Amino acid sequence: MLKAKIILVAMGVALLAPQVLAGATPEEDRKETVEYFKQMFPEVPLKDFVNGQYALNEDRRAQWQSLQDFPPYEFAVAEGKEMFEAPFANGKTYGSCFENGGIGVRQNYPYFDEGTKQVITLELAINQCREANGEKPLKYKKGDIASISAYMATTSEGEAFDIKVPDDPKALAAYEDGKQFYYSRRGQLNFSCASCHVQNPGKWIRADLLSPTLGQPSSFPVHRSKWGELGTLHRRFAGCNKNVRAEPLPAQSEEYRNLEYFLTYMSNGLPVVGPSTRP
Amino acid sequence: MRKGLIYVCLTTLALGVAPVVLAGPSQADIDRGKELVFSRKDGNCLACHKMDDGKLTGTIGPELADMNTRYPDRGILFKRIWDETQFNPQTVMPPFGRHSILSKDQINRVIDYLYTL
Amino acid sequence: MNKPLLTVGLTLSLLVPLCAQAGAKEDFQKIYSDAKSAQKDAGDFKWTTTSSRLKAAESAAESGDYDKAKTLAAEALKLAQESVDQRKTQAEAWRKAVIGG
Ligand code: HEC
Ligand code: HEC
Repeated sequence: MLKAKIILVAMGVALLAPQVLAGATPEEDRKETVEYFKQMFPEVPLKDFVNGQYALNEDRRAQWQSLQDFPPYEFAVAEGKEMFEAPFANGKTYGSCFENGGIGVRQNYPYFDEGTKQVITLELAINQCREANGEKPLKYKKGDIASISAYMATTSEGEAFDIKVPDDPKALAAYEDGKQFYYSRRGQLNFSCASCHVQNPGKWIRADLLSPTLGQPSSFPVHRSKWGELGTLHRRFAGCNKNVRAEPLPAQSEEYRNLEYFLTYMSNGLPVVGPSTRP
Repeated sequence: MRKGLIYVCLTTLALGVAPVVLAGPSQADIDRGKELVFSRKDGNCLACHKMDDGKLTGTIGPELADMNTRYPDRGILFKRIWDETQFNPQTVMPPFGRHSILSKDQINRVIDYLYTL
Repeated sequence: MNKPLLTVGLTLSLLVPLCAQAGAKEDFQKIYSDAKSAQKDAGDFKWTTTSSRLKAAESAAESGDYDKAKTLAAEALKLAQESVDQRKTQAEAWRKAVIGG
């Protein structure tokens, strides 16, 4: 017991230092994160992190690649394109709500809207566009919204994520909020997102291989065999929350949007590769 | 009756033998422990630890083996399963006791089983 | 943290045989409402296990089994309190896990 106490005290001291340094800028956070994973996986090329678990294991990757000839999301993407191009009842299309007609813009989402002082994700923007044009909003986790988002991602294929935290205390607060969410332990099982995706990527949890933080949102929406369909990033957040017995938050809640803001910022510079397939 | 009990306890204490050791877990206790360790909705220890004949075990925690030699003190083992964060604040091992994931009794059955490894 | 709970538990176990069904409904209601408010206090740190105990307690009460309802509500209360503790400790503790931070 005494030994344990001494260890605890020693750890306490070692852990004091980080707190002093906290308050880093988003860009410093990102650089440190990149450095951290480069050191953890020196043999993985930076851009390859967008492939999640497949960047870390040859066998899994080979299996995955053999399935890419006939991706199961192809039909959904085609449907997404159709819906994206079809006029609303008022004659306008989704394109009218987005920069460049919504083509090749995925890499700029989510962004901080200085007017409404909130984080706007691509799915939120899709629904805002619908409502502005007198259409009912879509459900956020799967179905049409996932198909439209998937199509929009294909038009940005290979573009580097370029998330900005503008010089606005509210924007920084949203980013910090997402960061705090990612690092806070939740649920009866007491895990943070980081417990799995920062501390243990490359390791197996039962039969699942854990992916690193870096590149995590790049492939979304993804077609999971478990889902049998496309699902959005927030559907995945909810699943990861539930797995540790934490009540998930609603898709597109402020908490999840801020989380996506932080998480995507960490992947700045990495390419958009969505949609993709996952187990 | 009660006097008798007290006498028995005092004797065991005097002999320096913990009652637990005298009693020893039954095969049923051990089986129950293994069930708790392997079941996904209870201990789910295999998610992170390789041990025994467990299949599809994770690699997050160390292999659990040779427990008698490594944990001569049952109390320490209990405390680590109860709440490993007390020993390592950054551990990812769930605090099974502190968060009521397993009851005291259940943890004791888990330990009965671990000592067979 | 566990002391008040322990007291609640002990008091309950002493009271149960005495007043049998008579106070069971009131006891349940008190514990249940405490559990609900602790769950609310957990904010975005709620546990799914708390929610399912609360639901189960509610349906036991609806079917008139107040003893069972009470036990489930007490379990929910304990879990909810642990999640509130988690929320409070994580308010600072999360910083210690940050990369490079
Ligand atoms: C108990 C471990 C665990 C925790 C905690 C956890 N996840 Fe996951 N997560 C997984 C597993 C397992 C997968 C599937 C394998 C993989 O891709 O990492 C996954 C996948 C993901 C993916 C998809 C990655 C990809 O390439 O498709 C994202 C995004 C993600 N998690 C985000 C989060 C966030 C955000 C949190 C915190 C709210 C979180 N996870 C918490 C285990 C966890
Ligand atoms: C989420 C992963 C995880 C789960 C689930 C888990 N552990 Fe652990 N466990 C660990 C890690 C990681 C360590 C290494 C020590 C540390 O992190 O402080 C550990 C350490 C231990 C140790 C000490 C290791 C040694 O060799 O001395 C014991 C004993 C132990 N765990 C038992 C259990 C039991 C029993 C269960 C199930 C009831 C369990 N663990 C579930 C991750 C886990």
